[in-house]
Amino acid sequence: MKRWLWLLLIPLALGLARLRFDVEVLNLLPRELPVVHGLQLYQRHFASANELLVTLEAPDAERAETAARSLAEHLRTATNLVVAAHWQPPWLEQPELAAELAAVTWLNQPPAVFAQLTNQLANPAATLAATRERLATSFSPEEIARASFDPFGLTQLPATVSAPASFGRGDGMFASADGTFRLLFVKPRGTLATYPECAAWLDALRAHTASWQRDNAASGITLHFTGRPVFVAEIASGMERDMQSSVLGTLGIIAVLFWWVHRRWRPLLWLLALLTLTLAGTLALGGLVIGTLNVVCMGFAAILLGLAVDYGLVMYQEALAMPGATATEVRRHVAPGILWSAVTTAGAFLVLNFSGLPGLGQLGTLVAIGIALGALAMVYAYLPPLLGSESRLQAAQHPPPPNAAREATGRREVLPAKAGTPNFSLLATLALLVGCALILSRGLPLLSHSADPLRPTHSEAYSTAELISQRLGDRRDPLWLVASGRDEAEVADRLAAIQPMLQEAVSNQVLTNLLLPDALWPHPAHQHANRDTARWLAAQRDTIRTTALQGGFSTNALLLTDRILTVWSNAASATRPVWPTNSVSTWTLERFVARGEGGFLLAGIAYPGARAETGGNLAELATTLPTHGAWLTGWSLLGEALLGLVQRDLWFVLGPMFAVLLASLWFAFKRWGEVLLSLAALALSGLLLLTVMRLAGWSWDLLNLMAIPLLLGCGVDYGIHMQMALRRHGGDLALARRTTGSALFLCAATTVAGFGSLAWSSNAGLASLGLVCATGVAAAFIVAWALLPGWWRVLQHDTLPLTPALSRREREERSPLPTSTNAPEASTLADFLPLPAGEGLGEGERPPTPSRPSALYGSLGWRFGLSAARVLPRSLAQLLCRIGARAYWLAQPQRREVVIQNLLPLHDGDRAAAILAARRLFLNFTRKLADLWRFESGTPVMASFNQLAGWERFETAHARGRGVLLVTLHLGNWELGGPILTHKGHRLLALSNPEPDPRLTEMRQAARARWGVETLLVGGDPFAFVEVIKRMNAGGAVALLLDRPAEKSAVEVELFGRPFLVSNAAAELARASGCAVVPVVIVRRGDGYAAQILPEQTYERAALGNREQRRAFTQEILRAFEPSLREHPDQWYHFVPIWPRP
Amino acid sequence: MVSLRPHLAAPVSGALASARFWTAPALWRFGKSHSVRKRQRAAALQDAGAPGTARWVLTALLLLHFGVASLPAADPNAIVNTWLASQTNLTTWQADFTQTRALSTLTQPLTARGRVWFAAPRRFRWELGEPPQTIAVRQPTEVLILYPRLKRAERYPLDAAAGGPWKDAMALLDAGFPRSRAELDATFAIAALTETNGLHTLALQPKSASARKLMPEIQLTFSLRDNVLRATQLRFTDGSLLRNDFTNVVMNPKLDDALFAPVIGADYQVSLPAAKGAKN
Repeated sequence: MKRWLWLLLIPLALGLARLRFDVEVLNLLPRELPVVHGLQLYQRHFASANELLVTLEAPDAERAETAARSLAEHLRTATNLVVAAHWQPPWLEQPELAAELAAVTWLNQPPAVFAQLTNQLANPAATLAATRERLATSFSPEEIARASFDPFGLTQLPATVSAPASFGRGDGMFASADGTFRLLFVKPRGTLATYPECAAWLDALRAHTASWQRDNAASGITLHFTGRPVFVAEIASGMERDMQSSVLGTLGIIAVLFWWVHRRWRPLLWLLALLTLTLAGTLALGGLVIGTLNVVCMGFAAILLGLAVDYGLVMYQEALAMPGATATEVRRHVAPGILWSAVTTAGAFLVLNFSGLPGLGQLGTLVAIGIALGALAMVYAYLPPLLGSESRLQAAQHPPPPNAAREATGRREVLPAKAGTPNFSLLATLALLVGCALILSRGLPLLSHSADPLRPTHSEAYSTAELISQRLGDRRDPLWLVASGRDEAEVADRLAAIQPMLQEAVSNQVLTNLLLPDALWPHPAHQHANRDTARWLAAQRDTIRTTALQGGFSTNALLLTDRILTVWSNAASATRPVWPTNSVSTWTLERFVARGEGGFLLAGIAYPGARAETGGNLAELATTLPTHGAWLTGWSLLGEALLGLVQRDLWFVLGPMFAVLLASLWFAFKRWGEVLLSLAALALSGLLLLTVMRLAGWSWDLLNLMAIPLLLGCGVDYGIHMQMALRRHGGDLALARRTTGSALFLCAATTVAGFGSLAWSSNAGLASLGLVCATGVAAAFIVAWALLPGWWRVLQHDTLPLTPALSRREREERSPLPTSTNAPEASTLADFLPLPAGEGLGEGERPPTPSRPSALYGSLGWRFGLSAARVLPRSLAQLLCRIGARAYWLAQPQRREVVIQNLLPLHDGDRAAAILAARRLFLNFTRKLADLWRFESGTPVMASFNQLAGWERFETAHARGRGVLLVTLHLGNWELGGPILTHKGHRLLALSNPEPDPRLTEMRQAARARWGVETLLVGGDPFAFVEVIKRMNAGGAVALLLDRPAEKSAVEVELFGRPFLVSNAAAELARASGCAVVPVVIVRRGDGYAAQILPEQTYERAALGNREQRRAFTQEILRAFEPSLREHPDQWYHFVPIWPRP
Repeated sequence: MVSLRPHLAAPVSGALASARFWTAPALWRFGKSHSVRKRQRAAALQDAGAPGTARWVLTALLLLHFGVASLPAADPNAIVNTWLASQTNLTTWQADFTQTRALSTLTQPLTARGRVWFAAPRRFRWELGEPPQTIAVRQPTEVLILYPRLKRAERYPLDAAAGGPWKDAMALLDAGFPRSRAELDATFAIAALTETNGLHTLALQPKSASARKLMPEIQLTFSLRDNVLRATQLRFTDGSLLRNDFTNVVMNPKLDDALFAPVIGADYQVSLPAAKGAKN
């Protein structure tokens, strides 16, 4: 390993040190949403923030009550774990402590209200007489009890302050109506700040209750636990379980698939090791970039594994397909594709950051980091250890899969297309469409408006909490009102400000059962104003006592009054707001008062009213309240608000993504037909997904909606790869499926495994996202593999040759004509045009030889060029060419480097000179292209020639009547030679290979024919050789390019002192026909062209029967071009490497 | 931090309500904890929620029916069996009464006079005070309590959906108004039968432990001569007593149905104290 690589460990170590895990699901949500902020405040500071809730169920109320009391007492004995355990309202166990809360509540009332007490105590005898009468005649249990122990009515707030009592004992929160279900509140000792602390505490508590449970099991008592410690422990353990099951499961599937295909241990184990390292590295980098990772996002691991393994598979496949190649060579060959793929896939996941859900963005960022890391790891680290000291895979020991080998070497076995396949595809498509339509006609998958996707699955804490809601609660989702302020006064002011809004909402039936604990909130101004009254009331203690005893009340009846007066007496001298402090008051206040966020918080509760609309008036109220420092929140509002946000942001995500998708498809295909096929495949995949969702009863929710952009990003690849494969294999469906299809199957299977493993996630939303993504990916693969090839064949039927199209190399190999390299334009033009995505290389790297023409070199682009040449003035066209050349020079560094490397020998290794020449070459080529288009569009070109030298050489050679073979190189604008011959009264036959696009072949043939030049396609016609000989024997002229030889016809000669491969076709034709071989160059000179017919290359025909003689003759021919090449290096148009590797 | 779902609304709601309207039972317990703490500390801890007052009021109301049968001498079983048999002839009943409440917070008992009407199977009207300050009417689906002087009415539903002490009390008392000996035995055990000055006192003990925690004993006093119920007495765990002494008893009088269907004045404030989330 290079030393500098060790430096990478520094950020990884920093990331690991910074890495924290957050188990708060709400932190995944956008805090700027008032509903989310309100919920976060509530969850963080209220809801018994640290308490454990234990539910107890028994066959009857009596046993439940006895068991609850017993359990509470048992829990209290664990003093190292438990601070307090309540099985009934604490004020029932210590009722005397409730006096403090009552006294302070009075103090918090407006002075006018508090002053009413002075009337009650001003004439205590009359008040007591009324109390006695009530005690004697009342049927109300509450009234009798209250009057007995509060004869002066100090606990009864005025009606203007307190609504009529609903249930007085407060045990509705501890026991169900039938008494068989009870709730215990357990306050832990310590803060339990982290999830390990929660888990350890809960384990200890469960152990402590285990013996009690055993003793009570026979009584039919069942216990369940919920509350923050349980949620935290569950989420933490769920995270571990998710990580273990999904990661191990995905790795297992990867291992099985790899073994099934390759059956090799070392590459398999190393692949798994690298994937594991990638995961660890991603966590570390995630810690460095993000800091605190939400545990829900740990689902990234399985997704990442499913995607990153593809890069390793590709590397390994390529290594197998290149048995003699070193790891570096394989990397050079494959890396661009992998890296570009990684960039686009990572980009798709990064787009999730625009989803409006920070948690989903975090997940996307993690996957993107992992993909980048995984791609680098696979590209640079996977193969070297496998190739080992021998540095090459030994083909004999490690036979490559037949398909892979054929794919890499280009020696494909072209099979005849099955005539019935397209029909089968169409029939299957039709059947699928009908089936989907039938199923979906019953309705599309529903859109869930709930926040349930944020909930954990299979959670005891959650189900227990639901049980509590069912047995003790209102069954409706409540709404919480949270008001904040820097101090007591600000909270009180804000409460006063929102009261009118809330009351209006209640009167409009938007809210109901509003319970806002404003009467209990310490109002500094009120308390201050009530001091004098409190002091006066406290001063009446003796009078009150004496009067009560004289009135027949016992001292017991005055205990509560006495305590209340004591609180008021103390409050009269207080300088700060008075808070009740005893245990009963504290336990009660903790339900709705909290300190945090640099101030105070108060919580109230309400329920949606009969006219509440979660997306309408309720949402409006929830939006208005934050301006007053208060939040209306609740899970029912959360789901609606988040869904609205997701739906809105979905278009922000989908819009750019769709544009990028279209652009990618266009750059990949350059044919609308294939672009539309890809889109159709995506659409059908989507339809299949909807159908499966409908059948399975899944619904869209706020998390799995984000599967749509992910599927667009991932699913489109399959269509692209399959159509590309079809192109390469000339529409051979079976071959395309066997080669690319097999590779896609592996990739799709691992991706499905990655996403699918999330189905067991402990988070419901992540599970639904995983399921939808897995189904969508599978659907995309099935459509691309099974149906798309058939569609493609139907669409391409008119343009494909009857026999499957062959690759250039295949055409070269199959042609009986040894001079099959002489495509006049295609090779150079196609090479010049941009590489398809994923084939670029960085500066300084050895560029690969493109194996196929550029996608831009097609009939559509050519037609566009011809049209532009017709309408644009030549000067403007030249200007555009200059701009285009400059842009291309900048945009295609790999092509630039290729050209520079090609020109270096012509400049004796002077790179600076080669670069200058290369820049000129780019410009000259675009100019040449513009002139060629003008020529092919019918514009006369003879006026462009400013020189025609050596015509007499042609005439002399022609006069011999054995035919003239005009040989040239990819130098200048060789196509323009045809009109010269025509102009001089000779007909020329140009030998050419079929163009990549059959329509382009036709177009170019027609253009030449317009100028009297015939074209003979030598690629697919086995009798072309005979035709050429016949033409020669008839004294005709044939044109041929030499400097791009096919492998079979190539001979090595010297050019500028370096080995150079050139076609031996001229020598072969000379031997076969005895024709004159005349080199020709047509180069740009000034604003026109100069045609130069070089001296005829003479030979002894009989000697050409010797192979070496033919090579020597070829060498002579090529040497004749050296001066012209020296003079015009910037017109020698080669955009692929031309010098053989040393 | 973790997400706790709305299920916690109930505890919070309960806490808010309880904190704001911390009410009678707490005070009931408060007084008990001081007056009988030493003697009944353990029992006090068991007295969860103490829906007591409601129960003893209703118990007092419904135990009227125990007084309308003749009792043969000596054998408690025979007395009960005869009594149950005589109830089949009972359709209506009315009486005047004096109610005595001995509360632990008062040094002297409180007394009030009133009238009561009963119609089989389960309707009654109870007027307390002269003029009536409190009227309790038992209807098929609810108990209605009127406070004419305060222009206030309280409804206590007795349907299945209604929970809490009222339903518990009615369940107990409906069971305690058996039509057969088997039904009686299912709810009460006969603790004692005594005779004083020609009056028999039958002590009953609730069989349910929870009921016993509320009300350990019920006494019925009646005359063997006319088989008229003379008094009922309920004793509660804190020592409080509720006694009704009946006079001017009339059996099977013709009663106006309007007695059991009082019209609530438009100026009355009606509430549902026993319902969760009490509404006006």
